[in-house]
Amino acid sequence: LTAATVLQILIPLVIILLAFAAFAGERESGTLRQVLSVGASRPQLAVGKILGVSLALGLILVPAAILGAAALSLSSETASFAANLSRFALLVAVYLVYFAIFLTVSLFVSAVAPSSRFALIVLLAFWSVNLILPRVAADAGKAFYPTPSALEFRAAVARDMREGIDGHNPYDARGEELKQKLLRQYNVKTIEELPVNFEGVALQESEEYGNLVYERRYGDLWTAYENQNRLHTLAGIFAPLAAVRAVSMSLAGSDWQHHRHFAESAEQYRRMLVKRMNDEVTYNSHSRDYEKNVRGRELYEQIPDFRYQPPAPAFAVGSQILAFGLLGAWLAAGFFALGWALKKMSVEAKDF
Amino acid sequence: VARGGIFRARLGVKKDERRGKGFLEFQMQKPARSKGANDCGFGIADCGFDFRQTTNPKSEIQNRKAHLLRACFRNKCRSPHDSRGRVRQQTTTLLRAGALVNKNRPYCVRASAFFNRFIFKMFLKIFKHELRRLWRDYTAGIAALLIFAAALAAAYNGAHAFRAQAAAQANILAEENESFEKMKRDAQAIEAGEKKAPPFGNPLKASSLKLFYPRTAALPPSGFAFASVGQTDVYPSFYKVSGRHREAFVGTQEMENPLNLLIGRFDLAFVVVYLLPLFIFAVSYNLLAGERESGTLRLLLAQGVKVRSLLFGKLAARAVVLLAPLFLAAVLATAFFGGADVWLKFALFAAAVVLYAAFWFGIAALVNLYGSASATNAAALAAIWIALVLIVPTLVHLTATAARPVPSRLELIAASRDAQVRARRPVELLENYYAKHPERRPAGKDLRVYDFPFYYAAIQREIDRQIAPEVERYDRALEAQQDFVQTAGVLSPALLAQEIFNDLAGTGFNRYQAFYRQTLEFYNAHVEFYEAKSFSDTPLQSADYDRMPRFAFREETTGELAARRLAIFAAHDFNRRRRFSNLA
Repeated sequence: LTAATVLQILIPLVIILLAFAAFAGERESGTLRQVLSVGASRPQLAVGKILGVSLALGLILVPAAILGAAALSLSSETASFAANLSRFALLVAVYLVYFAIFLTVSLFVSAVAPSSRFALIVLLAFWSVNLILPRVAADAGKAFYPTPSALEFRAAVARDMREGIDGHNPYDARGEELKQKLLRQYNVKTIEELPVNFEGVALQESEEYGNLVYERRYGDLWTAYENQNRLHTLAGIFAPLAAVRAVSMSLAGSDWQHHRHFAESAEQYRRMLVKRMNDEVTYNSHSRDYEKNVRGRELYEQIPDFRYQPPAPAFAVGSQILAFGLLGAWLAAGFFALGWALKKMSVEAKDF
Repeated sequence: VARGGIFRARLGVKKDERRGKGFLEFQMQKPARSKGANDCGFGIADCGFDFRQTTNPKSEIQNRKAHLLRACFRNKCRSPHDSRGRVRQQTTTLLRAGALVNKNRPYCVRASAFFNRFIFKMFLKIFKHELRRLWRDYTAGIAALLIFAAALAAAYNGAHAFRAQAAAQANILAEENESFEKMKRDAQAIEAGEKKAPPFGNPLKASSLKLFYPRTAALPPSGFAFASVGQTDVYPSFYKVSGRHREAFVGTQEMENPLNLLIGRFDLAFVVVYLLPLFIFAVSYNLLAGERESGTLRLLLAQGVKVRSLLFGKLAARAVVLLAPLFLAAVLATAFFGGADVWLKFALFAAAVVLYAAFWFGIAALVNLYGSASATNAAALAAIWIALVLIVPTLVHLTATAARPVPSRLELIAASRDAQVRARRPVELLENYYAKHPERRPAGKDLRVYDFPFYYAAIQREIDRQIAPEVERYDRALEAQQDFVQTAGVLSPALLAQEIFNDLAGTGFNRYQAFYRQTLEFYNAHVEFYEAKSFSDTPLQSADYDRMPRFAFREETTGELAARRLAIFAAHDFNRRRRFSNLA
């Protein structure tokens, strides 16, 4: 039960319950005719309804937002505070849009529904579609862009290492090739005569080959994940929840793109570290002296600590353009539909 | 006239030729003071005698009638109306009348409210009319079609996921088997002298095999797995067991897109647990409220229809409309996607679905009986659904992580790293080992001479020994947390149903934990087999290949599963004991 569940699932339900009877209920009790007959225009009525529901929601949401901002200012360091604050402001704006979508859709349905009961049922159905459709999208994503299980993935990586990528360049052949290349390069006959430590070169070489294998395998896997995620976002065409979830996770820095960003910078750091160690073996020792001169603590102290630089808010926005677009389209469609329904809205209740 | 009120019982006689039994029909009429159309009640008492055995049925009936009447009035039967002139619950009065007669007469008069023939007939009539009505306004058709399609798609989806898993497992096991067979052939060839033993990875040397020959312990998806994907995305369905220490395979994790884990899967369990209640609410939020709002409820009740038979008739019609297509889809799915011995599981699944649906129909009936408007009912039902399906399960999981925390995996990894550092004294470890197993000590072996396979194995076993308490602590904590979740599951029918479906599908924590425990056993056997050979430095023979331990998952029978599930409702400790005894 996170803040996201409340904001994404429960608040829309509250909006629906507050707004489903806005027009349909007034029509049934006959007050709609009265209100319109005293000179209130239909758009005025709609604005009033929107303000009324917003006020009721604001009573809960405004204090919550202030608390959120306070928690943010207490928890973040000064360096990242500006970035975090802009992320928070964007998040607030996105949720306002999301609520506005539900509000306009609810008012639209209430205006065109033959009865308030019908309006409520249609709106509850719409709300549950928001819960169901993302699951369908997740499974469709798994079907269209299949990902290997951990077992298969490990087996594939091991195979690539053993037999070479695409089975062209097996492990033993790679070692032999490297040896011949080094012997030629330094113009000597045995590895003992090499000015560098062959172990170190071989380690680095195998490391780099491993990097290639992992880059390829993880690249495939992550591309599949990203395709799956895009399909989920596309479910936002019918379910705004999917779009707002993508945007919200991205702004909170807890989505896949942010994880990938972190994983890649950690990997860069690891590669740097491994290369430094292997180079130490290669250039500070020889194949015959069992790494005698290799430095220990002194070397480690030269290596900088890993410092993660989180991406700027623009990164979050940029990676979720599609979801932002969908939310904007929903909002526009909601207002457009509401305007259309206001014109068409009948004042007289029909027997249903 | 009985004391304290007006009571008139008009006794009619009904013949039932098929059963040949007599019935006495009561009608209680409203007192002059009371208002309202439905203040009268019907009842039927089964006199329990057989017309065919009496010579003069008519006089016999007259006789019984008189008895019954006398019994009713003589025994100070309470007025069917209370002091304000409202009718007491008719059934209570009828039951009391029946009991009075019963006490005084040799023959039996039954006036059971529920199985009363008159009420049952009325129930059937309402049921039939309701079905017709639902059919006419397309509600039934649309709901039935939707739930049928959803259930079938979900089952297909689940089956698809597990087909891929089973295929991948089979592939990898076949690959492994192939390399095993090759090694066995090599061993035979070397024994026959056709081939020279390689210096590295000699198939007749246990010490090298143990290191370089990992075996896969795989958990095959159960025959009923398609019903619920459950925890498949989280727990590994395989472990690669080798001569390395335990932590090397204990830490195995499944790989999955985190977004998919967040959202969950679209499987049969989801359709039942999440969607079925929504469908139930959609068709029954206005059971009585709808009739009341259109004014027909008053008319119906004025004709002597009981609220109870009306409600049950309507509910039964809706249950048939929703459950029949659901079960049709489930039967089709089980026939197409199910494995062996799947029908008993299906029966348990069906029973769980019926109970779960009954709970939600009950909630719908309860909300309807409160007598609010149908829009209010719909909102109330949505709120109850959110509370029981979304909020309570989340709260249970949050409480479980707070009250029964599981130590971080990182701690376990750190412990195994520390152990690795501490264990780097192979000579001492080997000395200790041979002190315990003197019969295995190879003659004339100098332990101080570096021998990689020996040293490596000794170090791995020492790491195992050192991290064993950590691993055990972790496993116990995980099991305690799951126990907590299962016990707290009674707070939400959704949680309970999901657990049951996971168990039946073999995708819940219990089966994965059993798999894990069995893998540990297998690991011990695996290590022991090679250790006995390698530390004593006895050469392997090709025949030994057939004696090597292999992993095969021992499945819990469906009976054991059902018993374990039922035990959750019994004492908590019993449940715990039972589960561990199953695993051991």
